Amino acid sequence: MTETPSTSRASLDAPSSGPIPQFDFNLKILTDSYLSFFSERKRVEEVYIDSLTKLYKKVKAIDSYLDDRSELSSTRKAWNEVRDNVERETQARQAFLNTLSIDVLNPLSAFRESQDRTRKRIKEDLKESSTSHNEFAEGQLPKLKRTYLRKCQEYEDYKAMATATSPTSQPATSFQESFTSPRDLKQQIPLTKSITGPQPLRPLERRASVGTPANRNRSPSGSGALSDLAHQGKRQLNQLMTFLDKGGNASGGSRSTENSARAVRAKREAEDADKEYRKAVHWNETLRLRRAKILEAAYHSLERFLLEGAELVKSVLVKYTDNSIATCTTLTGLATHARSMVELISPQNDTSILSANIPRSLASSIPKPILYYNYQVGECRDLVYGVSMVDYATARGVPDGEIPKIMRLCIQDVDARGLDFEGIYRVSGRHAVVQDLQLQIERNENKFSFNTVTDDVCSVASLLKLYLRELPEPVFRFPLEERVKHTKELEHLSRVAAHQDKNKMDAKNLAIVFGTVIFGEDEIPTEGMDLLNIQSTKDSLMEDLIINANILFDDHAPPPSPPLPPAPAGEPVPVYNYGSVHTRVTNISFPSEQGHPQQSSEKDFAPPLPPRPLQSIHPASRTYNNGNGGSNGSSNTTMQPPKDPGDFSQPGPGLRRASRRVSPSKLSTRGVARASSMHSVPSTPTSPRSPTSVSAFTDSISDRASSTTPPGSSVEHS
Amino acid sequence: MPPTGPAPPPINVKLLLIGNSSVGKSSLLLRFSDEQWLPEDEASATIGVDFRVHKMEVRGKKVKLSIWDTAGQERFRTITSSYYRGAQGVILVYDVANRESFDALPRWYAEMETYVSPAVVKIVVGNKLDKMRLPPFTHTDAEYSRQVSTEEAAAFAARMDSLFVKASAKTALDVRDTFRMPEPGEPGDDEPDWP
Repeated sequence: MTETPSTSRASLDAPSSGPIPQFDFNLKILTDSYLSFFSERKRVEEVYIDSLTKLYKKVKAIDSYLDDRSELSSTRKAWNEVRDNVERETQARQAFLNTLSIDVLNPLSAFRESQDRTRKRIKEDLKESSTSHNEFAEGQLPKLKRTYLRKCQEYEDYKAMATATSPTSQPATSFQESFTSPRDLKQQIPLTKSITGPQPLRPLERRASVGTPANRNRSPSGSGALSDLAHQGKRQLNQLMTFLDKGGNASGGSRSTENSARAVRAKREAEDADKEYRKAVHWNETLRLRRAKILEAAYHSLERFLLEGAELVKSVLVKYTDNSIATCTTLTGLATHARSMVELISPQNDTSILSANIPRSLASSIPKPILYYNYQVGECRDLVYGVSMVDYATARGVPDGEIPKIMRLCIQDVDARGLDFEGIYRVSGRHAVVQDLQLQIERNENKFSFNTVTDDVCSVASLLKLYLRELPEPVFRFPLEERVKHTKELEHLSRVAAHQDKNKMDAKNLAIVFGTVIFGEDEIPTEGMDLLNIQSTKDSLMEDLIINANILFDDHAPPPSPPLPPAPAGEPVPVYNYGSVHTRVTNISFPSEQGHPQQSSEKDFAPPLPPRPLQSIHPASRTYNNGNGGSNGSSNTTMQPPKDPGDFSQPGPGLRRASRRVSPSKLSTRGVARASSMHSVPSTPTSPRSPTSVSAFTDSISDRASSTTPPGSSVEHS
Repeated sequence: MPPTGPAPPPINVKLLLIGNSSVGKSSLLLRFSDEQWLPEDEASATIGVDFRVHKMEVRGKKVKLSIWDTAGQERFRTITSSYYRGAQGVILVYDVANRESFDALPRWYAEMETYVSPAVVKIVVGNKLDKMRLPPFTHTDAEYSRQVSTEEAAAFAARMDSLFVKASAKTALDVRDTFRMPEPGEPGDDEPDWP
């Protein structure tokens, strides 16, 4: 019996296995995991909503200010819709936030609180029941047991003594027993109270899970014990009376009766102690059962906690995910709506308002042009002479490949009337006529046309030459687009040349006439050449160009000779000796900007700059001019220009010199090479690039050159 | 708003569609905004809340309707109830051939009134008028007994201080009127073409 409490205590109070720790653990999950997550989730959502709201208000204020003045463009309309979507998204998010509170957090915290209360109550009950049981099982019960055992022993002792003095005296014992019992009663009453009094058991029925109430009427109630005693006392009084009657009759032998009376009393006491002990054992069992019931109920509660918890978490998560889906669907709907609005943006329409107004705005804000006022003829609408072709094209919006009207008209006219005219382009027109024509065309270029009756073809030819001469930059200074224009002119010249039998202007003559105006009169390096040589260089080049115009400018013309075979490996590239003395394939050098070698040496890879004016004060030019004695083409002193980087690959100084000497042909060759490879970087070192086209060109030139002049004798050209 | 500027901004009106599930809220909206109708097997239950913008002119005034079409399903009740805020008009839809959906209207009113001001314009719409069987009845009594009579619904709407209209999203009957009626500033205004 004494072991039971200790074992039960061991099983009940072990800290890890009881229901309370499990309650704690699961409550912790509920609090630290779910509740803390969703509180934080809610906070995140609140911050987001807050930010969205602020964003919307701010942009809305700005927009209403910006959109105040005019009809909204389709872009702005769509934008407004997209922006308003932010407000709608805020609503959707707000709805989601509400569901977090209503569907998730509130049920979870309510559940947590109720379970927390349950846990507290269970803990108290468990503690109280186990304490009362333990206290009774370890305090009261052993004491009563000991009392009972002692009383039994006492009785045995007295009985032994009584049998030693007098054999039997039953009445005395009965008297003793009944006589001493009132004293025992006094002991007995507090004793019973000590069992029942301090521990009024709580009714266990309040817990639904506990089926049977542990606290039956098993313990002796105080009133029941007293009535028992009263009843007993009456009986004992009767016994006392009979005993007194008997005692009067039998007066001797008091010693033996005393002993036996003690024995009787001891027996009575032992019996009482037994009764008490029995009651206590029973009471202890009651406490134990109650404790077990409470424990059982605690486990039931835990079980229900887990079940309800899982059910709740499930339903909460279902709602949470449902609401997430719903929110996302709503947001998708909003985005779809915005998308359809964005589709309505029409960039053309939005621009059309401005586009319609641009001409008017321009007309009102661009200042009027100030025209050239000629002393003789007055105001001239068009400046043609002395204006570079680029400026001309830019100012009039001339499309690519078109040539100035003056050129077109002159060429047409000469084509029509002058091809068979002897000395066309050589014979000058009358100066007055030419000047008059020039002024006429400048007064109003659009209205100008030749009068075939009054304007003689020589004047027309002179007009063209004048135009070309007056160009600020020579024609062939420029890359592609200008060159294209001159295709027409060269074709024209070649047509003129084709009629040489009549007009006595063969290619050579034409070249002499046009070489200067087309290439410019100056800026040709004159290293080691006399004036005649320079001139002849230009002329022969021009001549080549005129003769080969068909080949050069006809896109469909087949190459006159097959491309050169590649040089055998390991052997130096041979220097081909055909062409005029001035055309050397190996000497082509792209980056050296004609007339400005310094520049190219400094900026190898920079795009070519337009040429400096002749009288430039730029130090580079000055150096150059000084080195040349400041004269254009009149010096035969050896020039000392800075190193030309384009020549670095050249084999030796001699060839290098050659390359410089033939720069006009360099130019022309370069032009063709460029034409074939359009906008290739101009400053790339040259020789290897586009070999076929270069060689094709040089071939064609050299064919012609070698047929007319023996190699090396350039003088013969002139 | 008086048209002072060159382009007066349109009046923004927030409308909310509520009612039991599958009474045809989304169909009404689809018919109204896109002139379309999806047969029952193609239409799916709304998830959460759908949104549409519709621009129209009411008596020369530009009105921009923002229509929030809520899900009728119970599981979305919490989230849909959050959309009442700021609504100027609430359209309560029921199915004329489904008494249950009509009987649920008081609950919808109760929910609505906890969120919106009493001044909000309320319209009761009896949808699926095409399903309504008119006498002489050729169908079973059970089917008839599930119907909600126009008189009963009109009386109910009047009692709830609401407008009443019958409509059919399928046949496009009176759908425009439904959305045209809740004009701000004129609650309870008699529409000339209101049946």
